[in-house]
Amino acid sequence: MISYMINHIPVLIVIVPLCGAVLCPAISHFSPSAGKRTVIGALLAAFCMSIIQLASVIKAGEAFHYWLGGWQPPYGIEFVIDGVNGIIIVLVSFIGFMTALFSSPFEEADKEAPFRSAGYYSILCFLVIGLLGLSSTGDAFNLYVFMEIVALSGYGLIAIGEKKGPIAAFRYLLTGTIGASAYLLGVGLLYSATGTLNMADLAIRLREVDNMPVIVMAMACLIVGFGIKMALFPLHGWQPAAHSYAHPAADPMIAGVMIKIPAYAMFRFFFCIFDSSLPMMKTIFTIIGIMAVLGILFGSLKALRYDKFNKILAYSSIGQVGYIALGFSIGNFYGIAGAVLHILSHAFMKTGLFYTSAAFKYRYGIHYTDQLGQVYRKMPVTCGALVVLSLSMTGLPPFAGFFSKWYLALGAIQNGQYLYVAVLIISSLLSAIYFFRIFERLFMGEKTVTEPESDAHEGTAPGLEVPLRMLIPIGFAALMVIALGLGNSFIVNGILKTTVMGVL
Amino acid sequence: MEKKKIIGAAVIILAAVAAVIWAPDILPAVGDAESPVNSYLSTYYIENSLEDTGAHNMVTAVLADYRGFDTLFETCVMFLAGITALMVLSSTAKVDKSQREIQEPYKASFSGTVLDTAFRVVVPIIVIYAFYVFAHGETSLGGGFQAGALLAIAYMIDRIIPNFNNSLGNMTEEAAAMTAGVGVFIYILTGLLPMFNGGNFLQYEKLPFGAEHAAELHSTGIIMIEIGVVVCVMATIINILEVVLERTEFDD
Repeated sequence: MISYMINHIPVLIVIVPLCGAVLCPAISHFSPSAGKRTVIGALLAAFCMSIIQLASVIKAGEAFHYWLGGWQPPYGIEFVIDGVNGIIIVLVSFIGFMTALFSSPFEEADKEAPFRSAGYYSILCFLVIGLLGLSSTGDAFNLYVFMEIVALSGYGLIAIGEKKGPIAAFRYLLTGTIGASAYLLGVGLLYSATGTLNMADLAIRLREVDNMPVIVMAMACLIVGFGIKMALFPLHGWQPAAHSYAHPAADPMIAGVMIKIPAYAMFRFFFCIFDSSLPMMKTIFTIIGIMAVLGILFGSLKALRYDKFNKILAYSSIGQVGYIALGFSIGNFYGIAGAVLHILSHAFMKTGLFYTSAAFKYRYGIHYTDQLGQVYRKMPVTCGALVVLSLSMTGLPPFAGFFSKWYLALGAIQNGQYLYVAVLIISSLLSAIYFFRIFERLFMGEKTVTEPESDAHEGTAPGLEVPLRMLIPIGFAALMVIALGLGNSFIVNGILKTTVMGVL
Repeated sequence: MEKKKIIGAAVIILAAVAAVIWAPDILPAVGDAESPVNSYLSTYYIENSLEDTGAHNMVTAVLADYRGFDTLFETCVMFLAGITALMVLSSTAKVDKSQREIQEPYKASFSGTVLDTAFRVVVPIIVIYAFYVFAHGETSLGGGFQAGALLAIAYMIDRIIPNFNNSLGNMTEEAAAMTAGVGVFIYILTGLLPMFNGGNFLQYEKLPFGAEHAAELHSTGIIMIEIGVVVCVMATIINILEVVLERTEFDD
């Protein structure tokens, strides 16, 4: 029975949360808090299953294939789980579960309007489902469908955020639609050249295609599509506003994970599908590298300009996504390992930082860094996590951020691309500046906040700075950054090596 | 917007258009039997879809069976659109119901024979047609999405002609969203049932019903997911309609 269940785990990871998401409104009609408990429970189940899946993929040493509807690919759709996306699925489901837990104090079940929290949880759960499906699928069109689910739930979560949320969401809607269309156009061109949509089959049949203009055009469309979705410079226009004004509790998921998974999808297209020995691949990687370098510098410089906590984090994300793209453009084992490690470590760092930002908003309504003065006396755990996560962002060992940059630098040196190493160092120094400015305000600034009225945080147990349901995710984000830093060699050599070496 | 930005955008668009116009022949000619699109997967679908799925229409076979997993998430997109519309507009206050009572002089203009007859004749036909499209969906083009939209239209006519005072009953926006969720759940359940019988997700031939041929089970599976799609699409359209109507002031 157990082994039978393990065979179905790839699809159950997506379907169990889906059941929670669609039944949440109906359940909460009968009991206001049961709906949100269903979603949290379903996401916890998905997280447990993703761990089992990763363990069995590592044990088996080869990729899992799950044929949906029992149709043999390329006639039907398949899920393919290998070491790289196995670990990314663990990441998505873990952060999804943590964020659902974290949202709980923001969306207390209200007997008067039970639908408000049910609707929020349903949309949040759909965001997680979309990201899980995006990482699992082995079919180019199925990837588009999941991309739509991610985008649509993202629009919703941004629009129900702060006052400027609807405008930010509308902007993202316009840009995101262009991105999705560009992706679809790229897939359409590949389909016209090969007649198939299955990724493994595409890879085989593209080797025989001699119509180069189609492939080049498809690549251009895919770079634009994924670039918009992952907010790669200069296609980042929607990102700062969307990340600053989204629903505070869902923001960690949006800022931390939503822009990383398209980066993984890009890896899949450019390394697993396209023939990396093609002569023009070098040009394509150089173009991605230029976009990445400009994005890293632009994001770091822009982040210096702002006083709003979320804006600083959002612009820093543009730079950090640049690192991931840089890893792909380096294109050797260390570059890709660094990029995948950076997807993981930056997901925890940015999610954790947005958790702390949401905790400040929840307790004191703080939006700007100059209001942070002496807050650490009242919120020691949150501020401790903030320090750990920020130090990791600037790339200090032994935190995770250091090791992903280390691998990127190793890869760049191996290829003789010393410019990339210089850019890595400069941007680390710049990020040190903007994070130490936050520390300066936090530890040396004048105390400006006053204790809010007691009803603002009635869910908080006495002696705690914020409710336990928020403290646990904050603590875990900081712990995971340390754990990833210490365990980086296991991830790179034990999990990523077999898969990444297989595609190079 | 500044002039510079507009000029920049125009240059990029023109360059893209020029690239498309001057690009060499990158797409195969329409109807080219030798092109990869027409000679690879399509051949398999044309030769085997009737035998595999029992669906006489190949589009339905691909949509609901070979790629049924995509259609599940397309249905989810509908549900998500409805619930997002509800959440985004939930901060806008609803119009007071007493304000919406139709004034006496206007009432006369909506109780005309034409509207009354039209309603009595049109709505039943639409509903019957919806059931026809749904039941026929497995063998011909169409199916769940269209049938759901038709049922929603029947409700919509009833709802927006003020004189009838919702003779078909009035769904609240929350109830509509819940129903849409249940519709998607019917679809998921159709996919989960074969898993208890040794099949994969959405593998209709492993549905735990007795049948002589696998094709019959495929037809049953397609009909079951179509029921889910009908419920979801109908409820989502009603959901969005109600969300907007509840917040719109009528003065005529």
